[in-house]
Amino acid sequence: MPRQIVLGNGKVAVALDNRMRIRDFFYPRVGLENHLSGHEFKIGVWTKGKFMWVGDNWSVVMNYLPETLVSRCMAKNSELEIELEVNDAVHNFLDIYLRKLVVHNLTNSKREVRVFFSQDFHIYGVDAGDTAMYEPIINSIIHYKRKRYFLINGLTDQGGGIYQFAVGYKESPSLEGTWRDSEDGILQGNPIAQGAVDSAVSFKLEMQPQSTNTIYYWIACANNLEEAKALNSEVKRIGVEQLLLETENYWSAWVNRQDVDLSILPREITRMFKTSLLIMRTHVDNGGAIIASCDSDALQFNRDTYAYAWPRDGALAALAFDMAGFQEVSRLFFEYCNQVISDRGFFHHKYSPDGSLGSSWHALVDAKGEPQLPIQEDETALALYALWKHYQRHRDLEFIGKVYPKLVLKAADFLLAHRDEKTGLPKPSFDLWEERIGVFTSTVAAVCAALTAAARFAKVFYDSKRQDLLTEAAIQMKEAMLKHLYDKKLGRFIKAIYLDGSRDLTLDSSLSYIFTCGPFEAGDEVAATTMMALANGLWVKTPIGGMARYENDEYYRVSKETQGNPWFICTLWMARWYIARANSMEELTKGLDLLFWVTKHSPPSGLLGEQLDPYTGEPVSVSPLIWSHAEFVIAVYEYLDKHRRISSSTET
Amino acid sequence: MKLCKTDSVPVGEPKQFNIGELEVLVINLKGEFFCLAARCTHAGAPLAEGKLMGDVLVCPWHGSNFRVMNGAVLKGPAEKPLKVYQNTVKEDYLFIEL
Repeated sequence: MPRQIVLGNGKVAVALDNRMRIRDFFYPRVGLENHLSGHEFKIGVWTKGKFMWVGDNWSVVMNYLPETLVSRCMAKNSELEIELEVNDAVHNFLDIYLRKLVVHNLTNSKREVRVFFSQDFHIYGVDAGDTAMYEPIINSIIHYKRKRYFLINGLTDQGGGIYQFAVGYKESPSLEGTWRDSEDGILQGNPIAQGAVDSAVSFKLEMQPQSTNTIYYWIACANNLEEAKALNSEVKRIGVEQLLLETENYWSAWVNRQDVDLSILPREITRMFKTSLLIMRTHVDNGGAIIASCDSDALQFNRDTYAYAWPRDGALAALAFDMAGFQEVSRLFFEYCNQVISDRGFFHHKYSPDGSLGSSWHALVDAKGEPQLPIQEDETALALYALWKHYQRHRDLEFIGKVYPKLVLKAADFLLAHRDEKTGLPKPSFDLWEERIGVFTSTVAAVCAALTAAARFAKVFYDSKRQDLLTEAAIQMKEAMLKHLYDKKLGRFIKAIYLDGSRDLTLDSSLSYIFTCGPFEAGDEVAATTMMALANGLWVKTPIGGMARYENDEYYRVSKETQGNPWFICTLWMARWYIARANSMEELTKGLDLLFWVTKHSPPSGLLGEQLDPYTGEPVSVSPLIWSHAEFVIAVYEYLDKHRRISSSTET
Repeated sequence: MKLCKTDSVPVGEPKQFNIGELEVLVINLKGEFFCLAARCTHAGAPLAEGKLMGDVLVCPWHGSNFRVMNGAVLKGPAEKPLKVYQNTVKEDYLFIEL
């Protein structure tokens, strides 16, 4: 189930699904230690003997307050005649998840309403060894294991705290969990349980006819009991209302300090641009890792998630942050890259946010048992390319000086060494879709860009010998691209050459790298004919539209009637091409139309997933996907830049 | 100071423009332009995202109501009015006085 709302402060990250259930809860790093492990925290309401969890029988609308990282969600149940208005947030610097819940009694009668919150922690992602206990002095529930403490508390505007509570055993045939205990409206008050445990708390409201009352609920996250209690005291002292205001204001100020003039943009595009930056920031760990997605639903299918830092996704997000003027965020990422890059100068497949190696499916030997390098070379290349773009924009030489010896020199040396002397192309590595090994046009384009970037860095550092070597290598590689990967008969680039020498002619959106990474201009004939072939061959011919990833893409394939599902990133590459080749305002509208396509197919909260069902437009696979948001920001920036150039040329 | 072209602010759609760090909200009420501070005086919400109901602007975060013509608070939680900038239209451009 895709996520509708993501919240975070660089240490705590929380994601909610479309039933307002908390589905991912990361602490103390974004992406590391998901304390829910695919489970959920729910809200339930009991009144006049009836109980319902917010879910299927509720009308739920989920959104953000504009330009900030505080949710605004509504849930209405006509049977209970109750409406809930909910704001969720993670405080901008305190490690506290905050929830404000305004309950509307829609009846003309006075009544008692009880609101329930279930907490199904799997601390450290494991269901064993947890303790859940009631703390009577501060009237709260605490879940803990080793160095992770989560303190749950709340207040009502009628002066009450937690009304009833229960902690208990779960996930066994006879003991489903205390959430089940909630459904009679009464919690039994069991004060402690250990092992696989969960908890539930309730708040009681005596409501007047057609009235509203408010409940404040919070979860304080800490490494020990004292810290958790101190945070709890802080919430009580300051008040949830004030903490929410602070958080609203912080993120609004944050997103509005981008130094790009957005005033010519249509409102929907401006909104998505800012939402994208905010959502991207929730996926940046304060240690610099940028995770691909916090959505852990893939756990149910693969027993693994997207909560890893792929250097590719991170590099593109860093590029987007830099374009929008958030260089301090991209700098965090490059510092992280400098820390994790291997001594040989390449990045492995993916990493955990703490810098340790992530899980991988790339083998160290090929089908014949021959050793192979289990990497995607474009990841190393894109990090170097993004670093150059960062420097070009911000000129922070002192920072570059710190990462130059490792992130630039070692990576550049690797890219030079990992070349086939005969062809001048890079040696084989895995493609950006992480499926096949070979020499891919997209990878070659990225490596060309990285060699050029490294040559420019060498010039900055007055290393002319290295500059010449790298420049020469980039030129030779571009020539080799044309010689080996451009098919004159087809009039376009091909996808790849495999280890056995076979040529893969599949139309693949990743060929867009030939101009997005810059070895070719968008208007160069070889780029134009390739992009036209993609536009003609991969546009999904259903009412939903959008660009498929490649011909006969089987990943989450919905129908054999289309080439594949539409992907946001692929559609945005096409938008970028239309924008790049536009010479007039009229031509520029083609790119704008595709930006509108993106906004049209996003949910109200603005989260962009990976792909869409080609018939229903529903998200497929994870959502959000940070790469999709990064490509949107890049495309909008390029649109603004081109708009400005065309405007000024028209004026003169 | 030149702020924007008048045709870039459609009737009934508040739009924000920035001059350096100054954020100005422009509202076109049936051809008449009003320029106000772009942030709610309560908690800093972006008023360009607010709803316009007649000549009343509703804050998108907590629902404060402001009179477009003079920035006055009609409904809280905001307590302070919005700053209003005088403006003039010359040859399809909107100019404001700072």
